[in-house]
Amino acid sequence: MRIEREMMRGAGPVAVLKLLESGAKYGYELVETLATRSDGVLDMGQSTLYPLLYNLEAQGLVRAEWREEASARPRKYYALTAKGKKRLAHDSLQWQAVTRAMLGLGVIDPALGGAAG
Amino acid sequence: MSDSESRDPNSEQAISPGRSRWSWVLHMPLSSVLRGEFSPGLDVHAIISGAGLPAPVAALIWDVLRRGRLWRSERVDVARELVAHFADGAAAGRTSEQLVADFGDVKTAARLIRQAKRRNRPVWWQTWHFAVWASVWLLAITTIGYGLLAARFYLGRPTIAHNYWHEINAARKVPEADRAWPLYRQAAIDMEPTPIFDFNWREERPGGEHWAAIEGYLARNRAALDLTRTAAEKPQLGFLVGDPGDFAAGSEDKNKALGLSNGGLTADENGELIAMKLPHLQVLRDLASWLGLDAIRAAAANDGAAAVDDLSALVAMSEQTHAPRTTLVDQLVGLALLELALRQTGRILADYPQVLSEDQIRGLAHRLAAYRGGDRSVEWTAERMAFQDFLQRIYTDDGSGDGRITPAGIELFDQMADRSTFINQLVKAGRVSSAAATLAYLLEPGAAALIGSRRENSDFYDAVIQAGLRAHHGWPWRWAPDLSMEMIRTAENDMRNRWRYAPALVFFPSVSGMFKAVERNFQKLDATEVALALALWHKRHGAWPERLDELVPAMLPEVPRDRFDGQPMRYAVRDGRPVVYSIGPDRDDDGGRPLGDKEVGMAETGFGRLSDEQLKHFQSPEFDGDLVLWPPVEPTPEPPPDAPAAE
Repeated sequence: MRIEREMMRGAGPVAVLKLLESGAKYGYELVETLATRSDGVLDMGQSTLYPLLYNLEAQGLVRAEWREEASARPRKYYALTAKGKKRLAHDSLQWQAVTRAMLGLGVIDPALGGAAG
Repeated sequence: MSDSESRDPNSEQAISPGRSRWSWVLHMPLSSVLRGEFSPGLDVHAIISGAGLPAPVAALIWDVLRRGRLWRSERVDVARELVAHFADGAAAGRTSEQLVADFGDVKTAARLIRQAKRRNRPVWWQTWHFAVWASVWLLAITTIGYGLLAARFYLGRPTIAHNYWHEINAARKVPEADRAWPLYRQAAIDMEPTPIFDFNWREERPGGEHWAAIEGYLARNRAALDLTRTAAEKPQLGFLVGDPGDFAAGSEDKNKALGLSNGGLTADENGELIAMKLPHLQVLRDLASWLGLDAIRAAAANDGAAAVDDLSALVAMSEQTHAPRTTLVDQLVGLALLELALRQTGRILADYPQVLSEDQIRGLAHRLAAYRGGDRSVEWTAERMAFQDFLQRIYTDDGSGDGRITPAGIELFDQMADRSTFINQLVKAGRVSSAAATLAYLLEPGAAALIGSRRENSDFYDAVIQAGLRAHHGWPWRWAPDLSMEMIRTAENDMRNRWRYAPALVFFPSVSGMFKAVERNFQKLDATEVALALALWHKRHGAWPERLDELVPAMLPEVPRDRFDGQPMRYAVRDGRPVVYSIGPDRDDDGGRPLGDKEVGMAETGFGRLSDEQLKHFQSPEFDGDLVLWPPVEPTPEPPPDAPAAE
């Protein structure tokens, strides 16, 4: 299932920030992880991912760095900044509140709601 | 993949690795050079072609870069990242078709990347970019706004709702039998054209070199002068503006000297009121001059009755000009006719003291008293009509007394104003130069927006005139400071108000000047009444009184006031002859010593409250003397040009 663009506009950045919480990642890695871990729901398309990353960089939420590791091609890695961590914490709380509200309204199946609590 | 397969034909063809050493140099990052590293790091082509990507994928990257319109360093960064991205995809087993499909829409990607990269640019660029866009928007908004303003301006049309010609004529309408003007007109047509004398014929006197020519003319035109005196007996002047009857009568004027049919507009045509012809004024002035000379002729011939008839007719002509809705010019000519009557009366009393009987002197005194008792207030209605007519021709009409300036109004204003404003100059230049005409066409709406509304100008005009009228209430020595002049000066000295009130500012008559003209002539009227009383006293006593109050009340109701200071009019007997005088604008009694001829005209403008500067001017030696009111001080004849200078 693909989600609407407006919803993706809100979910995409926090999803990327969340993936970077565990460590720096490069573009293709983020694409693959997003698709895998969200069952394809947040498979935002690569044409959208890179502009999203550049915007996060412009906002100072991520920091980009070219790394040329041995036996591998040069890749641009993105890592969370301190500001990005704060934003992630803040946005996570917001999403949890929204999810709880949706659960209360019955928009979200209670069987799926455990993670939101 | 061949080199040609991965190259976008529209873009980086000029950047090719190994093409030239210059290409290498050109694409070296400055930071690398500073570190001593010499590699073509900014060569996007080298980055893409060197990655060995499938042709569709390389073309996609080129497409994104081309559409992205990025800085060179940004292009390199994006190219490297996309190369790494697709290389990772290929390494993961994706086909080139899948890689292209997974990437998504290239246009969207390019647009989003461009926007995102711009957000990463330095502050100075963001500021500059904002400034450029703000300027562009501002320019666009201004252009649109000015376009709307221009459209509003150029679509504006004046509405001629009033025919002030008809309104003036309606107020002046009298039975035909009561109209004096047709008789004056006929008298002027019947008279021989005034000869072109090479001397000042209006001031010629018996004994003068040219008096015989004057007498001859008077004799030949006696019938016309009789008709003039008959006209003076009519209760109203009855001159109608734009009267077709005048144009028809003009055809009888064989010499066309009267200007009756000289391209005038009829009232029905409702042209600009300011352009109305007033041919009656010159006719009246000429007829009055001849009547004045005839009075002197009669006195010289010891015909007191005829002299009194002429003088009374002159006073009546002056009264007739004070018609309803009369213009200031009419009123000034009327005052000039009164002044002529007073001057000739004064001359006859001085030069021919025996010619008038006591009854005739009393009759003249009563005639002047009747003149004084009539409605002599300054009439402004016609002036205001002329201004309102001007407004209706230059402004739109919103139905409630307001409106905005129109192109036709600017054109008319330009003709009227003859002012050296920038837009006036442009409009004038536009008549001969198409470039200036275009510029004027573009600038006119903006200039017009600076001109105040119809109501603003109408209110300003009324406020100034009312201030002027308030200042000149009552006796001149009690006049208040004339704020109207200050209001006009203030508006003219302020750039904003000079534009806002431009229509009103071209229309202001001199309120002060009009009232001073009235006072000047009424002071002469006072003095003539005193002179008549003195003549009567002399007839009865064979000598002059010591003081003027001796004349009161038998021969004079009261001693008139000197209009410069409110004190009784001055009187002295010098060398056995009486002198009636005013102290004049220097406010200093010089015992009746007359001012020089050339200073009299200026001195007569010195009524009312003077500023320190004006008072200082009038207290200069050239104005040291008095305004002698009777007997008249005759102008000193100009010496012939080749006369030897006096020792």
